[in-house]
Amino acid sequence: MGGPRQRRGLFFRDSILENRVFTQATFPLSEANTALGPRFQVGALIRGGGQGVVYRGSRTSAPDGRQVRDDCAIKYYFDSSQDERVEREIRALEGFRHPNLASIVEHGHINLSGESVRYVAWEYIDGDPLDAKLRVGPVTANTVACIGRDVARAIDHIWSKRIVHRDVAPKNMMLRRGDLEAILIDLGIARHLSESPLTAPGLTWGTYGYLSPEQCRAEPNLTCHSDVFSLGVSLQEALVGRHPTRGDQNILVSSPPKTSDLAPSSPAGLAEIIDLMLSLRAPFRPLPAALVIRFADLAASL
Amino acid sequence: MFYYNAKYAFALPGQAPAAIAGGIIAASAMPAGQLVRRDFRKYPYLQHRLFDPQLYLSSLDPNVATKSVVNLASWPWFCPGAVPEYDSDRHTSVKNWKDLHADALLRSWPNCVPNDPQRIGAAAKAAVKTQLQLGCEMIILPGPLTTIATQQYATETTWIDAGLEACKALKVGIPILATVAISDSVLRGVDPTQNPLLQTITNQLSARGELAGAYILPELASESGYVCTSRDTLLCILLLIDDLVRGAGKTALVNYVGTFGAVASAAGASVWSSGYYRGQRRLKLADFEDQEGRAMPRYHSVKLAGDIGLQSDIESSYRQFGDRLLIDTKDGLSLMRALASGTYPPPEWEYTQSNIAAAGGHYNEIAYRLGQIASQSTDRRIETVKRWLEGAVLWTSNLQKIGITGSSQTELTHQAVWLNAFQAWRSHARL
Repeated sequence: MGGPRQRRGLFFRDSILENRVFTQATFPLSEANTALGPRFQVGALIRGGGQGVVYRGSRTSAPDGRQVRDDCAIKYYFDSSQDERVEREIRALEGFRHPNLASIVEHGHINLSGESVRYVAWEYIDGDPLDAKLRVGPVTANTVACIGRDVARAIDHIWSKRIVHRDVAPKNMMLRRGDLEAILIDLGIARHLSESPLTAPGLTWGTYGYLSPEQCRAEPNLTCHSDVFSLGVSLQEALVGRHPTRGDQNILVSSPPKTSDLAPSSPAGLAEIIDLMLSLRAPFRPLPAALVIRFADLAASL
Repeated sequence: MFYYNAKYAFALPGQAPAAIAGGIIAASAMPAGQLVRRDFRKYPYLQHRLFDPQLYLSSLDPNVATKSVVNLASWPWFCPGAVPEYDSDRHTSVKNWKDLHADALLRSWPNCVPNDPQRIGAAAKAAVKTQLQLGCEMIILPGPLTTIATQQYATETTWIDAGLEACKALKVGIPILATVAISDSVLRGVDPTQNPLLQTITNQLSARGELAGAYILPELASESGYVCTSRDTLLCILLLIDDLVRGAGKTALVNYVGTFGAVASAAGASVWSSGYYRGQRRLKLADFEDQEGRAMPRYHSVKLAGDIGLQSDIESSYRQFGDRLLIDTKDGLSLMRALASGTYPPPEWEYTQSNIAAAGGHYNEIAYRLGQIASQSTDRRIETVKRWLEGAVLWTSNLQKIGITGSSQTELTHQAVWLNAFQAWRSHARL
């Protein structure tokens, strides 16, 4: 169970953790709900995987007793081995208030069958994940520019705290307000839960098909350039309506396709900036702050 | 542009051009109390000044590098509060201050880079503050020497981020450079185009929008001469510059590579720094050890891209090739005339200890002229440097044909390596 898999010569870790206690199938939801207490009401399953499970929920009071009404996405994490690092990172993220990032509502531990399980209640984003949208077809060039602008803004913000998302992919981008606003979700935590470079050299975290060349080389100290690459892949996919290499990670990090070849009718300025984001040499990719300006201009003109 | 590597004496030797664009002052040049009292207005080139905090010298051995360590330890990023600051009223002279406190400074020398986050933060802030007080045109963030070839670069980025934090706190409004001090021991023997350390460095630096660029200096631990003879090391420098300048749109300054700085300038470096003395041309930790030897004059030939020995080689060369290897700098003219009239050597070029004013002025004028390459277009710069290096390689062969062999005085081995590194960079950059 849960070991690293190899696909086309590339080692990666795809939501699989070793030594986990629970799986989605065995997760004792009712026990978790009881342990969370009456302040929370847990609803339907949003998403599940090897790393943990996410439920829709709401919070009626804060830990200090204040009455609140927060819609949440409550995530239970299966692996406690990286807890100290997660704790440190959560503290860094706790103060984040950014329009393009889901913020943390509350976090803590509950005891399930004798195991300490971390939960994080995230702000619930009422919108559609980009990956769900793309199952229907491509989005407009204007929406692509808006996603680029907003997600680059989010990446810029977390990078100012030297945090790298590492899993920028359509599944982690929520669209709302007529697809003209994007929110980056699930930030930061996943990498710390799964990444353990000292004990697992050569492994990386992320979603196959969206990994940057640095992630594929399992570089331990990634930068915002890595997230920019993953965003570039996501934007190409959004423009075309399918993954640019049909999921082939090796092509992405050896000779990424040109946007104009994939979507000949796409606006030249948009294609140009996406291609720059897919530069194989990290320094040649634009910084997120520069992307915000470029995409904002494009969004205004398209 | 060429910047002069200012050491203790700020005055330029000989008749070096007053138009030299700027200077870099090293922290090891003198104690803190002395430098802050220096009047920079007397030296035109220092109107554009930079100050190198030299954190990368933290591992100097205080038992053998006494003079340098005493100077360095007087700066608060090395030994904060170790001894009272120099006070002209109380100590009357820097010599007295040194006599009084040298032992304490040597004892307090940490011999390593601090790793406690609070100490790093305080040290970085002190270094930034000093540069603001000195009126520097850019801030050089203190950075340790990279001597381990891992991909992590974690200590270095900790220092960079501490420096950036300090700049933010001090509301710095001038460009900020990260120090990239890197030992050639981690650059040699690895294909520079695939070197993961280089990729990590340029990735980390280019991702920090607050940085205007990098101050790059290779530590030539493996070299015995004045110049770098390692293709890997030189190509690494060019690739670093290329990634930062052409890739990330940042600035690159290069120090301690001699006139290879002109090659760096073709690759996009905006400033390179050097000077006549060995310690101004190269960075090698062993050079900081206390030595009593005095400098001898050396003639630098721009055509050869290297030095020609003054004892006999320069006359042999002149007999065969006339003045084709020489150049009419203000300080070099007397040497050319003496060779032409058979009265070599003129007194200012006599091969005696410390007789280096003319040789120093001559070197600086050549460096200044080479520095003008920076004002050319990219294509033109590349073409100029290509022709220069190809010519230099040809000259090494010409000199060897008349029996002149490479020596510590006459440099004939590095030219082909420089050209090779340059061409490899062009090929990699597709330029």
